[in-house]
Amino acid sequence: MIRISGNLRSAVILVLFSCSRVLWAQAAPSASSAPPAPASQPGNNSSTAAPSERPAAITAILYPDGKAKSVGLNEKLQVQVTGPTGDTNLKVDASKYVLFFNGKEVKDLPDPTYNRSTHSLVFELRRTVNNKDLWTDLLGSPVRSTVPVTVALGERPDSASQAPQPSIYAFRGDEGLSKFELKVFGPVSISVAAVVVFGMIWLVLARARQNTTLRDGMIPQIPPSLQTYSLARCQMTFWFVLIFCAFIFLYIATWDYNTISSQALILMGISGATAMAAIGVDAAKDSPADATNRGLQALGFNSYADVQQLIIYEIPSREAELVRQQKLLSTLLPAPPDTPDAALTPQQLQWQTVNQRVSQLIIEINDRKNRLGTYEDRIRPFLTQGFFTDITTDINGTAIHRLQVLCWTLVLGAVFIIGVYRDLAMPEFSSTLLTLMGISGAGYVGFKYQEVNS
Amino acid sequence: MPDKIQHVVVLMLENRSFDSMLGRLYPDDPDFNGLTLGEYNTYAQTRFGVWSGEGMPPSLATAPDPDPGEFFKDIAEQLQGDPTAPCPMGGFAANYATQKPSSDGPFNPRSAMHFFSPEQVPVITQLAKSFGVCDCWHASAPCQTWPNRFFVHTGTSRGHVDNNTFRIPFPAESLFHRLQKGGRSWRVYFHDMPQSILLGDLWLYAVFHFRGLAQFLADAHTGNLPDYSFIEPRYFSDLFLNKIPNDEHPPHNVLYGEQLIAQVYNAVRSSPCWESTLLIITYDEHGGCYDHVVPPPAVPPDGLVDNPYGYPFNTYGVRVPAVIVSPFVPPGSKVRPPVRDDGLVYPFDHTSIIATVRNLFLKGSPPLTQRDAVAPDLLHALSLPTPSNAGPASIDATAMEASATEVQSRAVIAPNGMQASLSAAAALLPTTPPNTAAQVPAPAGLPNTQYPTVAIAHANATASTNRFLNR
Repeated sequence: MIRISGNLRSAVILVLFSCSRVLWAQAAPSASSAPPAPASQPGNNSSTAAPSERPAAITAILYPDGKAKSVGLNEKLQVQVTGPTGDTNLKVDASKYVLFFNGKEVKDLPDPTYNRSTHSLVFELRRTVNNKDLWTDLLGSPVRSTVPVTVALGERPDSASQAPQPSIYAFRGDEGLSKFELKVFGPVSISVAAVVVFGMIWLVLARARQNTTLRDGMIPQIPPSLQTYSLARCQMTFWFVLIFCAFIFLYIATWDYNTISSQALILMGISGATAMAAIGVDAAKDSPADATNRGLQALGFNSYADVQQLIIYEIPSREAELVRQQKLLSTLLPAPPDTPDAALTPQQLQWQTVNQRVSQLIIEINDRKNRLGTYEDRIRPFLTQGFFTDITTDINGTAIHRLQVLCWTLVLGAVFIIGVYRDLAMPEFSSTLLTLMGISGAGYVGFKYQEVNS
Repeated sequence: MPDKIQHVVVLMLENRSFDSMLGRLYPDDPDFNGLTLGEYNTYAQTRFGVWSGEGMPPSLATAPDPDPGEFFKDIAEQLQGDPTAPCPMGGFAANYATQKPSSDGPFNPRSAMHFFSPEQVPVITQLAKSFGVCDCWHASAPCQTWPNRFFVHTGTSRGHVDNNTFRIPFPAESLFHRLQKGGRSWRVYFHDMPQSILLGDLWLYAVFHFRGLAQFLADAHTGNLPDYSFIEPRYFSDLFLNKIPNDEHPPHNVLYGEQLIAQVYNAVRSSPCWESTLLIITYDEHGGCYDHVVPPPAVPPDGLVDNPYGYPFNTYGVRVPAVIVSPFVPPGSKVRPPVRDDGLVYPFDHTSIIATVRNLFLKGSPPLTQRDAVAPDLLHALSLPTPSNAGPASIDATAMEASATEVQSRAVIAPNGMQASLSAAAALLPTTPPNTAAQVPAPAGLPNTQYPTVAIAHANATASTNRFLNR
């Protein structure tokens, strides 16, 4: 017994299916699933016959500028047709015809027009509420910038209760003539979108290493690049980036700007509220970070610039002067006698003055180094330990209230991405899932209240 | 039963006189040398009696505020006062009123006469009543903090009377050093910067013996207390930890000191070492707070006089509170010094701690100075045959946490004398612990540091200390 895995089985079926299509095309088999095609390809005798009122076959798909090999939404698709006898001199009532993509009616399109010069029915491809499912089938889960589509035409039935059926195809053996590449993303739109998306991601993420976009910033004396990452801010940013990118993706794929679902808004609201509540907790409670801030301010450090001033200027300038004064002192030796009321020479008096300055400089240097040492000691607990550690741990190690926020955010984020990619729409999360996110955020804020006092 | 005592723990707080803390401990007991409420000082023809401010909220347990004078010349004025006045110890109000004007507030002479009622300081009161209180324990000299703290450790201040004249490292043999040589264990437990780190003979091994208070709590909990423990309170406001000093130094709120006393007592009381531990709670000096007992004459420790006043250390300082805690001390004891074989009675002073430790752990070891040679020890206070005085199982101190505003208000002001001296001395600590005696620097005078705020003084003190102790 041979066990065939799922992938292998799919591959075998795909190969068999492809082979059958080739054989069908060559031998004109009467496969019931295949669209019926005109029996033969007649000669071109349009000059001798009266104009036909009904196209019989599709002879080509014409591209608008003759260069582009694809047609997309909001563009015009020209389906060149011919009469039953191969005549091109048709007298067609274009409004009677409907378009079929891959055998499915493209509903709700504006009435097509007939272009006599190109002998084609011109359809304006529009995405509406009534046909968006078809477009989702066609454009969803894109792996390339175009997808192949087979075109057919059908006549609109007299009765509104009857659904039109595809009846006009390419001639048998020329099925390729009724195929075209449906544009998912145009090169211009995808370029603009890429610039917008990557620009925004750069603003948010790349610069996050150097600023406090994603970091706490509770202690302004710490340089931004060393501040701890904030889970609430990261979560809010995560949903913002995701929804923004999804919006851009959907817009360039469907040209629909009403794609943000109410659930997406609720998600942004939950993450925003969580971040605001977290900031509120930080601000409302007098936390160790606040105490550190006050302590550093009392040492003269109101911002990181004050720390830099100490490192770059105050200590080096005094050390340089100390070296100079010590050199000068060595030239004034010997030191005066350590006896009170002793008469001193001018050189000894100068030695005393320089020596006092040396002592003072040593005190000042030590003072600044001690303050700097205190600064380094006190900010240490508030320095970043790396992104993942920052957002998943508190002072006691891995914090479950942080971990659960992270996990649920990632899971729902993945669901969101897959939904947008596959369905060309922002997913409709159930109220249960949204409640889960809300509970997760509330739990985080509640535990954070205790956390800030640790 | 002294031979059952294996651990001595000393907690020394700051700058409170006996009367100011325990003066009304036993108000109806004629055998207790406390306040009668008839004591007063006169200043500018006005009489200022002792007062306690009953009903004052705990947050105001800071009197006297501002800090009274505590230099030698201040104390001399406090002890002398108006020679024509009937009350001895009559110069506290006058000295206080004539302090150099301060931004901390007016020097109302009444403040110097303040005392805390037993209800206002419930922790030390409860311990004093549950175990023993000494109403004749004097500071070793009528001097500032450092001379008296050096007396605790070395039996002398080598002639110095004020903090800022010392040369560091302090070159006198210490009790710690004696214990080290005798193979006994000891530790100093501290909060920010221990004053005892200035003892020169500890610098070679200080790094092994100085620990934070948390270590004391752990050592007590696990029954690993050393033979001798000396606990130093928090001297500086710590903005980073949001902590007010718990040293009780005026005008620091005494209730934080009460919390520390309770913390230490509870740790000892719940320790496996409880039955073999003697806990001594005392203060270094009176700090300008009124006491009615005239300091008696004292034996000069070593004949050294290194002060501009020519003071020969022939008197004790003002009385300070001292509470003796042990299950061998009968409840309600009033611990008094015994009459010696020669008929003399010397009061307790800080060198009584040296005498006690020496007699417990260093039998046969000679005294450090002539002062501790005559100092009465505390062993006779351990008069119960068995450790039967359980005392309170634990003590709850007034629950009070310093507000950020309160800490800030204590951190951005000019440092007091103790804080200024400590932070200045910190600059003399080596950056790394010396490994040999030759690496211990020669004693040097305190540098002329004038840190503008407590916060900056604190940063300098703790940074240098932590560096020196490899913390």
